[in-house]
Amino acid sequence: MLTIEGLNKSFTRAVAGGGKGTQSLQILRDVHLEVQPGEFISLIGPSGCGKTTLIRTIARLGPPDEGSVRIDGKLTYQPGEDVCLVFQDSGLLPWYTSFQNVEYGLRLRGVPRRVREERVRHYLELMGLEGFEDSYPHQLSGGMRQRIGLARALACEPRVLLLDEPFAAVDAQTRERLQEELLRLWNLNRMTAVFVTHSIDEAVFLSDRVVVLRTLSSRGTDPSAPSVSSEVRIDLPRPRDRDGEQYRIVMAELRNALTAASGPQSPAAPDAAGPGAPQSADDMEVSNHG
Amino acid sequence: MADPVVLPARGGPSATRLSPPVARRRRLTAGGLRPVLLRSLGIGVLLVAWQIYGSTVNPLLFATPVRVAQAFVHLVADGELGSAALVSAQPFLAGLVLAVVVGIVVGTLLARFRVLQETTMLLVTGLYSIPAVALVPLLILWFGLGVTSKTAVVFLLAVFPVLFSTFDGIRSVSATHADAARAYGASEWQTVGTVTIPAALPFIMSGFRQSTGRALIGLIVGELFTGISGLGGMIVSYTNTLQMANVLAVVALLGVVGMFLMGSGTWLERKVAPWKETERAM
Repeated sequence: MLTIEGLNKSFTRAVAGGGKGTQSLQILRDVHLEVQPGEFISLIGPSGCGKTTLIRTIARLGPPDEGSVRIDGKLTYQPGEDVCLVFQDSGLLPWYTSFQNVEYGLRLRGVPRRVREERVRHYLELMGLEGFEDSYPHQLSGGMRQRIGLARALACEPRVLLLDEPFAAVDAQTRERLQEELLRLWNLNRMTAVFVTHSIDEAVFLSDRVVVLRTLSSRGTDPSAPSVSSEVRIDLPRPRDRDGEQYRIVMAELRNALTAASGPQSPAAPDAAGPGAPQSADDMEVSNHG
Repeated sequence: MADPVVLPARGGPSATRLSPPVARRRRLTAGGLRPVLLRSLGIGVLLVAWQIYGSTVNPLLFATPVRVAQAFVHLVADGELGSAALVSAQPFLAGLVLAVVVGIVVGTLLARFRVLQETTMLLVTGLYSIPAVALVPLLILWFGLGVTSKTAVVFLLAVFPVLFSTFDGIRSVSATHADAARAYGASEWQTVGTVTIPAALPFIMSGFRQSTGRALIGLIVGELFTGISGLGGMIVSYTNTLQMANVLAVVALLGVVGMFLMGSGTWLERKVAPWKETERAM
């Protein structure tokens, strides 16, 4: 079980205009979250709501200011073993072949070569990547790279699989197929999954539960409001029919929840924001960790 | 709720969109004889023009390719060229190895420690801006006419390309790749081994290639100044006695050595970064 308690996180940034002052910007406030073993949850919210910061904190890429993240009660879980992150732009290492990339987490952990090889082949096969073991990432399409990124995480067989907008940069058709494949794999060994997305449809198609986050810094937001705005439970049976009536009802419900989270000043249209849309807070997060 | 697990693993359209890399490489090298022919043609025209022009000039000042070739064979046969090359190899290799070691170490330190970079980068850049050749008389004064001063000249010329490219290489490590290492549990040293070094290596290798070229220049400059031994020494003494064919034979050897060094540099670059190689081929 993944347990998040009282999580706070701010970033300091230089104030624009050449001055020497810095400004502290709170990204996450008082996040409490419990994810059951085998549950699939999505984090959704407007740009700058801290969903990427939250998943990076779970992935151990930067400590929180306050609060704790535990897996099965343990504070000292291992990235690459207990949790594995699938990156937005695949995050593959360009100097490694597909095989070496999928092997990466296991190799760092010192898993013996024989075991490693078997496991890597298994997951490459599961992802339909046979024959591309020796290709370098730049020789592959975006969808293939994401598959390898997913295989890299799955090969570690983590207790919690973290996915940070993994399908944001691929075309719509590939995206839907990757979503189906992700569900198929999740179904095989029912790990806990936390999925960051800005797409309402993706959240509804994949998740058991959607957690809606709000942007703390937007005007009209109560200055003491916690990051988590609301939760939407999705009990539709899988595989889900995108054209079904129930599906549309849940979509509408989630859209309302998002509008509420975005406050009166900025009407929410997270679906319209393409993968290349500027996300100032997310950009800042990256530079802060660099 | 059970998803049909029977779904076969599939490559799908995005898998078939690619031709396997092997096919791509084959197409690239399928130039056949054409480039070889064109290259030989270029060299041939040059040699013929040189021969025709060379025969019309005072032989004390210039030599034809035929005479240069004869001189070359003669110099090799009596062992003079070989022993001079051996003498030259010593300061060349010593200076180059020293330059590579110092360049990589200093470049790494400058890239990793901000304070060091802020305090000394201007100094290093300033040192680089000085035409190193201007310091040769000084170096000879300090180190004498022997191997040491030549090594110093080679070092001084060769150190900067590898230093700056190491610096750039280490600074080029992307935040995402470093994050990927950390997210998969890499320790500090594992991150260096699996991210920093692979990312920096192509940069370092291209710096090394430039350094080799400059080391050769440094060697000859050093030997011309000291004028006693080695290939540079041969050039000086044969120029003084107006034996142009011999001078040009040494120069030709240097050209061949330079080309060989550049070629092996490129080969080494591909060897250590095969992923860059296929990237180039795209």
